[in-house]
Amino acid sequence: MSKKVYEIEFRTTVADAGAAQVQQDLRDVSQAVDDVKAKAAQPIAGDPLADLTKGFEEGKTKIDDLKKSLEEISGAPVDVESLKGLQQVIGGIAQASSGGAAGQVSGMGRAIGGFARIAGMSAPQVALLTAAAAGLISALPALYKAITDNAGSAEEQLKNLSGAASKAREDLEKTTDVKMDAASVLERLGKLRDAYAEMAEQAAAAQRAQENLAQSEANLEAARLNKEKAAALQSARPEDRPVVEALFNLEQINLQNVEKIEARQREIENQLAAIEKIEKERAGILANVAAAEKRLEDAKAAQAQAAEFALKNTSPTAYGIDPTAMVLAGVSRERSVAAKELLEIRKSVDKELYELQEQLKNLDTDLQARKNDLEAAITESQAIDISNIDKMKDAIVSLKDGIAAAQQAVQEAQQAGSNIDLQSALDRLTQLMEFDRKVREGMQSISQQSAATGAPAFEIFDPAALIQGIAEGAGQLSQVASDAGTEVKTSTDKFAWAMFNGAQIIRTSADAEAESLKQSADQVVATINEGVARWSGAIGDGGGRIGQSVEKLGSTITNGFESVTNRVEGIATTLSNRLSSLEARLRAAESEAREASDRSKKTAAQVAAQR
Amino acid sequence: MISYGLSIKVDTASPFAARIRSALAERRFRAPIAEAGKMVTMRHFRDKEANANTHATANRLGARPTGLFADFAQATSATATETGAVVSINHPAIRQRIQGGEIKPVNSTYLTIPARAEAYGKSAKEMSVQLKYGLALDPETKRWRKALVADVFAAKGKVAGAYFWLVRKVKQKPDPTVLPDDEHYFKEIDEAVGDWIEGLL
Repeated sequence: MSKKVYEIEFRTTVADAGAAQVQQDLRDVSQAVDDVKAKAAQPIAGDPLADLTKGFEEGKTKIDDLKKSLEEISGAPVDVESLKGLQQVIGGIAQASSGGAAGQVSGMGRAIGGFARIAGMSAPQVALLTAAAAGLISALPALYKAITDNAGSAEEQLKNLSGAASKAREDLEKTTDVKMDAASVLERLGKLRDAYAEMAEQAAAAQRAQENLAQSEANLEAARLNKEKAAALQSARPEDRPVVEALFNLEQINLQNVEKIEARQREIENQLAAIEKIEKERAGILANVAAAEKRLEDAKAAQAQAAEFALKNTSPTAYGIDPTAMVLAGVSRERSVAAKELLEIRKSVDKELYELQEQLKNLDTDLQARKNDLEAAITESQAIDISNIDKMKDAIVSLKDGIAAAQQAVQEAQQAGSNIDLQSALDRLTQLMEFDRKVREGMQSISQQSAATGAPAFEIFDPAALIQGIAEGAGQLSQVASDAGTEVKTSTDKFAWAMFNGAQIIRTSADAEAESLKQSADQVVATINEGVARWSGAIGDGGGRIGQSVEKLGSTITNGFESVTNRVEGIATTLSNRLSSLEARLRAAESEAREASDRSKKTAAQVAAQR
Repeated sequence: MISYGLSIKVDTASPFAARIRSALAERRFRAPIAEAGKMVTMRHFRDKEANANTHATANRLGARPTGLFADFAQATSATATETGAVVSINHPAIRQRIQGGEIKPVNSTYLTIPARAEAYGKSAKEMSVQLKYGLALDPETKRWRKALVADVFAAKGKVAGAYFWLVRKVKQKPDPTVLPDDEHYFKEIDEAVGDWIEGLL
């Protein structure tokens, strides 16, 4: 460096590092843009709002069903006032029974009609069952009010939701055509991402509400079963009650097993559908391969025909001597060029076929994996021994028949009274003993089966177990009814809030779209400006700000595209495109060969005419 | 079933991303940095040239400024390098002006300091009159100094007029105002890089 020259150097070390980072970020951005294009080109499947509306209607129907179920349980039309009155009556019964005043219990029990049977029970039983009923009834007013209130609220929210949805839809339709420049692409992608998120959120909320309602329905069903169980226990003879209870327990277990089997069945059906889809894809690819191979053979035949014609119509000795032979030589060269192209195409076809075979292998692997899954699913479902359950059901039916026969026999014996003779008494005693033996065997079998399916063990003919069973049954009845009420209220609350939130989100999104677009644009511009400012600043002070600003700029852009991360390329589409390309090239080669052949024939005819 | 879709009419985002990526890969931002550095430097030199305070000696002597800073501007160039950008001022006087330091005569005994307007910006050899060594009264210090004068004897009874003062050496202070300050550079570079990015859009 000459001393005459004074140099001021600006080193860009920091900016270079930032630039390298930005390059990487932009590569990601470019990829994201491609993804977005592909995603944006796809229509948004379905109509989440319509689904939400449908879900609401289904929810309403279920609420109505629940109300009817409550009416069935309570034995009277359900409204707030009537339920309160009923609650007071039941409260009186509970008080009376706990005080041991059987007479009063009996009188008051008759007074409420639907609960008259309770009056015939012993005082402890009356107390237990009354407490259970009181628990159920006490939950009813709040439950009914919650249902009616939330139904109205949800309906109102649905109206709001529909209005907001219409506006959002109009706005969305207005913005169908967009200019995708550097700034607006960020805005649009952000909006698209938000829209997807909102829809997903609403769908999830609706799904949760449906699940809560389904759970409530299941709880109510369980309450109904428990009520039936309690009634059956009450009407059965003391010595038969464990059997009755065992029967109900088994029924419950069977129901649960059936649900498991049904769930597994649905999984298997899904697997089968997936396998069927893969099989179709595979068949399509095979058909495409066959078509490609046929076209290749046709092209080969055309080439052979052209070559044969050339062989017959050209003479090597005529080169450079005879003008006609020159023409023929030219045609031959053209054929040679066509043949060369055909050869290249054939190589290309071979390569395509190889790739298709690879795709088929992959599909086969996938298919095999799904088949394995299916077999595993079938094996698992078989673990739930359906035949075993059927056997238990048969045992239960026969046992019920046996009990009925025995009860009849006992009643007949009681009616016969002192008129029966000794032999007859002995016969009846023998019958009773035989029945008793059968019942014990049956119970033992049921007990074993129950243990195999996870049902709780119980003592046969144990008075303590009877009382405990009744108490538990009553307690469960009360608890389940209370839970059902809470669940219904919670689920309807959640459902209503989901509706409300969904409406608010959509309304806010639609109303503020223009503002949000502007804000997004401003934000992008500001971010870029800030990045540039920081970048330039970092050049000067050599600090680490460039890295931060570039990182921020990169992450801002990347985040803008983050909504679309999964690009799905269908195998069938890819293969179809490849085959289309292949087909076009083969067609061109065929055409070339055909033209060459035609020209050869024409020239040969001209030569023949000249000679 | 209602479905929605976005049709993309114009996609300038992807080309923009590709352009900026390519430009960054080639570090093309160094060129606007170099150009901005050059422009700031040249503008500063011209401003200095136009500023009366820059020409204190010429003003004191009543001489016409030589246009040194205009020459600096003329001698300014810039280029992008492997490591960034460089602004060059190819002028023999620039370094001394910026850095200061001691100046000693080369191939002679004295340095010549202009003492009057017609001597300003010229060497003794360039003068149209024959100059001789002598003594002259420095009007500022009121002391006799070695000088190059036109007529030694003209001083008889009068004070000989000095064309140049003769000194063994001169020590100049660094002048930080010769070049633009960092703030000016950074501001200009900042805008240039911003414009460069916008130009890629």
